[in-house]
Amino acid sequence: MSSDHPHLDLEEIFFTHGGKTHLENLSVSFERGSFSVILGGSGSGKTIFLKIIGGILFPDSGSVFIDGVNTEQSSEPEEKSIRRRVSFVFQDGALLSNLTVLENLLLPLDFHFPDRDRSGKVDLIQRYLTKYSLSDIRDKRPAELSQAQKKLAGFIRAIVTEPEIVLIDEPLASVDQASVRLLLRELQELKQKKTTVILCAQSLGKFELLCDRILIFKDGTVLEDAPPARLKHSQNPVTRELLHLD
Amino acid sequence: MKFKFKYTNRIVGAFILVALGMLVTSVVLIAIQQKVFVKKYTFKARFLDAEGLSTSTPIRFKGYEIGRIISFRLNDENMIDADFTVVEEYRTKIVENSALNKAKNPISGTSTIELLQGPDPDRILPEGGLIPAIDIPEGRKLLDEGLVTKTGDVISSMLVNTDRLLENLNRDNNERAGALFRALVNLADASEKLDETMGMITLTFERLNKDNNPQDGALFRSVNNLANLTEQLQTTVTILNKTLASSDSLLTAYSKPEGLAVKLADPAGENFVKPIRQTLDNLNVTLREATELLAFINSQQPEISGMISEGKTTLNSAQKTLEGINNNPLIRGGISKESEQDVQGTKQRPKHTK
Amino acid sequence: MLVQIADSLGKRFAEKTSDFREFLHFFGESIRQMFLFARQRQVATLVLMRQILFTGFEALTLISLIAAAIGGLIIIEGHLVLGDFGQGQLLNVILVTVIVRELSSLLVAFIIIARSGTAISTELGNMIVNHEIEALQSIGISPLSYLVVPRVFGVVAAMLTLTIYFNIIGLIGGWAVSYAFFPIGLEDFYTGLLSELQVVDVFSSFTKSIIFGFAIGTIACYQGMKVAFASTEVPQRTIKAVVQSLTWVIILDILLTTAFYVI
Repeated sequence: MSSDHPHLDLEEIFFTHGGKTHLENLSVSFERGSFSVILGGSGSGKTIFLKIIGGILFPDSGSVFIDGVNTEQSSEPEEKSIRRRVSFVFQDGALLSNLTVLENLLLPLDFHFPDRDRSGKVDLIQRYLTKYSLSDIRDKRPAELSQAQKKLAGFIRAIVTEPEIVLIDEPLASVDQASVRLLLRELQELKQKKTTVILCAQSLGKFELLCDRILIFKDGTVLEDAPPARLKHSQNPVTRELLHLD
Repeated sequence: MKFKFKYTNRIVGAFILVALGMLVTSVVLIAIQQKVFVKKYTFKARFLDAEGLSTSTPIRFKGYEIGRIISFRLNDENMIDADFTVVEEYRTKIVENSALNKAKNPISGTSTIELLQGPDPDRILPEGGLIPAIDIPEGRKLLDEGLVTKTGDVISSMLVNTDRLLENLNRDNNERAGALFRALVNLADASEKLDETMGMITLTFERLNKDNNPQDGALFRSVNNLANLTEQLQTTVTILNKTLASSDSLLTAYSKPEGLAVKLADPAGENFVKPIRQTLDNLNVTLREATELLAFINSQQPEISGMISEGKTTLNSAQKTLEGINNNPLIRGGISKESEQDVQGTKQRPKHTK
Repeated sequence: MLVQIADSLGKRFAEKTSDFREFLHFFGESIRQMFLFARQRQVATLVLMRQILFTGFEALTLISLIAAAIGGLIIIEGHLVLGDFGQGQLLNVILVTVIVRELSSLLVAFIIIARSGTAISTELGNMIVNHEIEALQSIGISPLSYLVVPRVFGVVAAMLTLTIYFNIIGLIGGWAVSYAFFPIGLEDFYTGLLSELQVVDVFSSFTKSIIFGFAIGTIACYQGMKVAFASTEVPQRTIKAVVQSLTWVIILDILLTTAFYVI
């Protein structure tokens, strides 16, 4: 965990599936506390990129380093530590359907902090639920929730362990305006806490004020990688289209 | 549903605990029933064979289980040495000069072993003492000397009786042989005589065919034609009558003519058929008696019925053969319907139980 | 033509062996995770308890009904048949052989396959389709240790417990059902029955239920986890889970009965 290393470093990542190359020779680094937005159309490889960082998918070749530790060669305790420090927010929340919201939110806490007092964990979750006005869904199952409620609950599950890196897949897709405000406020808090945030979206939209770096993905490669101010002058038609510059 | 989820742990705990409680109770009950915790005394036993013997075969006395076989092995004399235990409560039942009677249950294939207690109940056999089975010489000696008597539960008694019956059946010219044996001997004699008669009748008909027509079956065809053609019938009958009268002395003893040929040959039936008919009737009576006797035995015990079903099948075959002769189409009206069998007699597999 | 047939057969054989290798890998990894179960009990205990609740407790009514009916029928039929032979005492042997040795574990296995085997493979298949497995992976929880191991343990525990209930209800309930037709005293009935029951019968019944439960749980989980991404795969995998579970339960039953009573 040396500070000489970037917080997150991906080197020469190749990922193929079903005969198609989704990521090709991709090398990117992210500094601690950075807020990055990956923009790209459908099939550009941005979600796969996030899943590889999140330990959900494994690259065919290349390495992922978190604080200088190669995730594939890490020991079991290191691996567990990495997973505690890296969280993933799924597009549809991906709550476990056979558990209540409370049980879903307790899952990462129980797994990463088995020795912590259970009532303390429940209190922590209750505070988050109150903050997001979700107290009444605490004992409900995912099937009984709206899309926005699922997404918010999924977001709480990702941040409840106070991770260092938060990966978010399409955070504002199919979410009502009230929930968008809540999410943006939470993202703002993450940024203030120096949490490394990498989110992927199809358009920059309301993240413009939060992000300090934009990566444009196309066909599994990084087309452009620059701060938003600089990308505004990009002549690349893909970038211009994604940033709605024309 | 929410109630179940809320109290999942409690419900699952109760579900498993009740099952475990029931299991433990059952195991304890089995242990008590099988007297696992009761002190046991071990004795030795010797049998002729190990048929139907298993490590848990019960030893019964007066139909009550007093112990079990725990092990058995083949010894140098090709007999079976077994160890059995007797629970403390019944230890005093094992006295000197006792014997064991092993009888195999034909349905389960397992054996029941009955203790035949010695004459003096005060002379208790020391632990480890040998008790012979009555199918080995030592045991038989005890039986012959009257030191033990065969008694026991219903099945054992039946099996013992079956043994005796088999013994009698196996003894030729034995004065003590029972009714069944005599009936069978008589039947065998009668069958032999009938067999001779049948041979002669066959010979006669062969001759009949040959005398009047070189072609086989001419007589038969002639007789059939005669039934339809009156004039030719008379001529053929005359020839046939002469031939029958002169060629075979046995047919003269036949009475009560019913078949076409005999009717034509001896309408009165006085000379021809009567003697052999009587023999057949007597034989039928004997067979009926034998059948009734077998049916009676069947009704008493399926074990016995199974055992003698082979004998009955033989008798049945003999009866059919005799009936076949008796009911020869030329002599009477055809083969009669098969007499109804006793159901139990056919259900059982014959078993030699000893 | 022959070359084509040989190619086709070779391909199918390769597929089958590949499937089997994959299953063995899954099985081996599941076994490894089973030994690590204690480490993850904080999160996996809930899954285990729910599995026992669903597979065991919720099936108890059905199991009890079937057990009592089967026990009663055996006693009634046994009396009718054996009574004719004067061999009524053999009824205990038949009850022990049919209910304790064979039917209890086999029928409970069939019911568990029908209820829980299908449910497990469907649930896991849908979890894959809904990215729930990915959610677990993102937290760092191994799907095998969190989803498979407690389910297999749950099925085994439920199977074992239900077999105990089946045996006891089959024998007591059987007596109760048949009492209406053939009034036999409970004490007489149990004295005869308990003297026929051997430790090996109880042991074989429980061994079978543990092994059957293990087979059903593992096969159902494996088929569920084999769903790649489409919801249309879920019913196909469920059918495979049922067919394979039934096949293996019968094969294992033959092997275990042979091992206990023949060898």
